Amino acid sequence: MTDHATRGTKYTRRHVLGGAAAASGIALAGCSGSDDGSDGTIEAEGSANLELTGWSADDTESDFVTELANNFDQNNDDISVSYEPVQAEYEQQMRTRLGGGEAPDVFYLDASYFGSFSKEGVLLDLDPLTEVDDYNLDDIFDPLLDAFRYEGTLYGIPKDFSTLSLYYNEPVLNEAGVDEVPESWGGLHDALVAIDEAGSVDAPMVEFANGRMFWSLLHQNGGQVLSDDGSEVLLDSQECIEALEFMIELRDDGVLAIPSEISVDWHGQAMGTEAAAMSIIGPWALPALENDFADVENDIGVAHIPYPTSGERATAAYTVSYSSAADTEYPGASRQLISGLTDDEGMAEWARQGLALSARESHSELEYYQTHDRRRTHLEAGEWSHPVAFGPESNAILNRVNPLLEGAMLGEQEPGEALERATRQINSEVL
Amino acid sequence: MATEDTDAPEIEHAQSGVDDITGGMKSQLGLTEDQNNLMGLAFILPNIVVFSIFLLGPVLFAFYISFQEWSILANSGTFVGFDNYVEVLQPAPIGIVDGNIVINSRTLTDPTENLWWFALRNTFIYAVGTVPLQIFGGLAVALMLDKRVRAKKAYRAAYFMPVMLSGAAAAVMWRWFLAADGVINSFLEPFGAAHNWAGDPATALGAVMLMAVWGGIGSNMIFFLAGLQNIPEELYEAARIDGASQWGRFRNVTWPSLGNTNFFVIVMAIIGAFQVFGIALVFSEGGPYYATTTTVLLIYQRAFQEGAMGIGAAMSFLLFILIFTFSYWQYKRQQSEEIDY
Repeated sequence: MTDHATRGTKYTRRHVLGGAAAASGIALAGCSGSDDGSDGTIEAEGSANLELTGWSADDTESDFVTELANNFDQNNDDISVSYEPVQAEYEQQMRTRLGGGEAPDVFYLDASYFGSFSKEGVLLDLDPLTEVDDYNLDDIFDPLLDAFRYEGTLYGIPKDFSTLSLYYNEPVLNEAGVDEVPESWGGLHDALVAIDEAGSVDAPMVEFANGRMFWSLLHQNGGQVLSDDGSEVLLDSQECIEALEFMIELRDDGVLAIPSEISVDWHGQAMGTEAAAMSIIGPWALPALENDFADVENDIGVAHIPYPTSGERATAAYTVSYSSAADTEYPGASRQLISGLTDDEGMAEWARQGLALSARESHSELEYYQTHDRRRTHLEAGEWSHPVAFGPESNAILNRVNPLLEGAMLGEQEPGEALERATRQINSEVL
Repeated sequence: MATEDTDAPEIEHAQSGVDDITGGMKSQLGLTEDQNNLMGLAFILPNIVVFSIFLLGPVLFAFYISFQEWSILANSGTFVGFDNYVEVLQPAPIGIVDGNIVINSRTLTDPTENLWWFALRNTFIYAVGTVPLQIFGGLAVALMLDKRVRAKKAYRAAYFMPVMLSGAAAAVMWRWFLAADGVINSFLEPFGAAHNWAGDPATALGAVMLMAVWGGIGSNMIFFLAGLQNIPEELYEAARIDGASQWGRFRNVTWPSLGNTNFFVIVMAIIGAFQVFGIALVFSEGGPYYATTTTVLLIYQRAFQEGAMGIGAAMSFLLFILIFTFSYWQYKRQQSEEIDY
């Protein structure tokens, strides 16, 4: 029975994937000799052997990408795809491979370091995809597409994305007399104090020492990381300082713990073991909760992150692109593969794995998201999300801000002092 | 002087022995001196080739890119002279302004002032805290296990075990030990001394140092055991006949006889301490709040995370100069203290 059911499911999925890949092939290969998409098609360069690479979060992801690649392969006579995941030091490997002219044809790039690759001109221009029929690029959330543009040119299509949302343990909230999930900063503070007073958890809320939620709060309060022209960081603005002050106030009031203080490694574990009642975390926590903490999992809800009454909804997003090397032997075939992996059905199938969210806005209507409320909440937040990516010097910026946020969280520095120092340091050393 | 006079005939005798052997080879193989040299060169050629390609070449190239603004992605750079070195070193703890010496101690206490100097300070603290303990700990264990003790081999294996463990695995293990609910705090809790050792900037470097001492004692023990076993038993017998106490025998026989071992162990321990990287990366990623940011970890961040290869290369050469100077000084000192029997 199980075997039959499994096989049946696989068959169906293969069928869907195969259909999607074939449709992409037909739409993209078309009959034009041009590869610039000017007539709505992209043509591959005769026979092409493509290498697809990325890191692999786990076997599920690896198996699924292999299946996607195989299906694309089978449905495109002239293109064969081999998937070769990289197990460790992915970023460094890609730097050396691209620098050495040995890059794979299609590969993942995390938004946090995408800018340093695009700046060097080593990536293939993907703007021709904007002109392709049946490939609805406008459906992809704008902030995610913008994360993969450099000087107006598109160099990556989001593979998927994750937003941060508020996770809460409903019975613990009810026990503390918190009947409504807080929607404002003030409401969050009051709810955490009430939970603390009820004393049923080790800490009302948990956050990493480097204060990851700051990247959501600063945007909620009207702040921004970089100036519009990207020439300076603006982290010493009043809006950013207030956002950090709010976090530090939670620390000072004893309602926000760092994981090591409550003997957990991360937020998902804190929620699953009921060591914390709330945390701001991404959808990657859901598989862990579903698989490892099944007895608590149903008590945990997901809501949008509370925002200041005078502010606006915002959250941080983490996204990864499919990109290609500028010197690939097969630019047309590489674009075809990227479009096949990220078109409507390709991305829907990816989303159904539950590992990360579909980057397509229309997919909130998918049956999968209608039956998976928590993931739908994450997906909705895509609209007001801000990718944690700050141009070509993104890593250098994060390497300087994160320790200072840590200093503020650990009481080594005042919030204003930490952000002023970070701003001074980055503007003088990096930008 | 007397020693030199006494040694002279022995050296001559030894030299003639070597000549006999090489002369014998010449006659047997029919090689001239030049051919013999050429053959020697051929024997070391594989090593020179491998060394040049995989070590000397990259080192020289790194020196070259320390004067460049280098992009690993574009595989090209722009010559910037000493700019990278100036950027790394400025602001310095000591400077000259209008002809007056100005001390800027903030560079050593405030990581946002100049992270290179702060990381160097962390590395010095780490070296000062770990090297003596690793060396004296290794010597103490070697002295204990050089005697006739029961299960000597088992003890030696136990002390050597951490050396066989990778730094990353050791760091993960020590994170568990030192966690808020870890085994160490379980012992300390009854005394009210439990603490978040890895999460507190004041104690995180100490935790990394503890791990390094634990891992370093075993390798030094092996070197000291080898050194101890090379000391002629006659020297101890003579000392006993002269009425030397146990401490006297250690002070006047063991310690001076371990001169070469000491030199090797000290130099290697200092080099190891200045190059500390893996355990600091895995244990705490340089944090919290830069507490465990060491020089090599900073080089890794700049060069490989941020792609600033020129800055990373300049930092590497500054570190090389520091290690070389210290090793050379130690070498000269050791030469002046060398004792021949």
